[in-house]
Amino acid sequence: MNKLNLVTAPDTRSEEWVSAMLDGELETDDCLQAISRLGKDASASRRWAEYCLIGDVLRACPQDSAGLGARLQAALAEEPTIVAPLPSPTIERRPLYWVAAAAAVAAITWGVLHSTPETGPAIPVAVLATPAEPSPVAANDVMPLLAAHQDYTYAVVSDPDMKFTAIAASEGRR
Amino acid sequence: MSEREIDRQLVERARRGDKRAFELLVEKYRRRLLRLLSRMVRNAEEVEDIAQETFIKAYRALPNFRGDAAFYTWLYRIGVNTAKNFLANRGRNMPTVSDQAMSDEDEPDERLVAQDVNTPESMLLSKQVALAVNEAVEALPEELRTAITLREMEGLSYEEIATLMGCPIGTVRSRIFRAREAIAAKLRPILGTSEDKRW
Repeated sequence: MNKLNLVTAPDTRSEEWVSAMLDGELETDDCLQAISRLGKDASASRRWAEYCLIGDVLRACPQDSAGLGARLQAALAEEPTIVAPLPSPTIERRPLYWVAAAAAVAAITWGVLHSTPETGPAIPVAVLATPAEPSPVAANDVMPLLAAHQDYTYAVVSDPDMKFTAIAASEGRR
Repeated sequence: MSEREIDRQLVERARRGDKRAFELLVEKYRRRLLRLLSRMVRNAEEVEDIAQETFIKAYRALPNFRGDAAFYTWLYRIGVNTAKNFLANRGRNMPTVSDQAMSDEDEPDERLVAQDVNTPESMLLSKQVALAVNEAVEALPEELRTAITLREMEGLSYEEIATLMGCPIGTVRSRIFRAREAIAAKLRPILGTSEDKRW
């Protein structure tokens, strides 16, 4: 409300935006630009520090010793850089994603419900389906592996039935 | 964008690897943190050590900052806990100051007088800075002095100041900026601030 675009104002020499930013009186887009610029612009950074000091003096905050700022800066420089951005924007901020997802689901559902086979009568699925049988070859391939690794698994070793099965499979393989 | 939201944006930038963003928060809050800590610990050097430890702890804990509370509330909580641990390790008791008074920065307890944390060497500089600021404020034209006072001492928004002073918000913004610049111009010779000096 009533906040002007200062960061991108034609008169780029003016650093009024630093003052407005410190007071939380910039528009969101301007502010994001300002934050980015503040980190790179030495003159703006200096003003930020000066304005902070002026406000603190007027509010009767105690002043730090001359070396604290430098010590803090050195200590921070020694810290490993953190790279841990916040998770992606929240649901409320990105409603279009959910609208698009819902539309996609609706389209797929509609397509499935309205698609019919072009030839032949409908055949019950149960008639076509055949029960899947485990492949004995595959089971035989797996069992030695399980037997070989059972010593590393507490649950397998502690279950006598499974251990017996694994040993039997191993011997059967030989 | 409010101050709180700006702080949150700076935190987010720091979390993305931009240490300079965190340094801006340090610059903004370090003296306020000193004021808080000086109510708990009387020795100036210890207060600054605790402040430094607080900021480093806060930096390391940035991945845990969820933004539910304001940054300064979160920072002050770390500061108070750091000071309590420091005092506990030294076997001291905290001064009889209520937790409410220590944690409520928005409404500071007027009964509490901030302790001066300066060493003798820096006390002179502190006095010079305070004197320069106060003299510069006194020398400001009335409309600038009123605007900066309402903002910095009363904490009013630009809109509230505009209503009080009967002028557009843009005028308030300009007056506050000009007031700050006028005061800063008096400070620079004392601070020895140069273009490339950031702290």
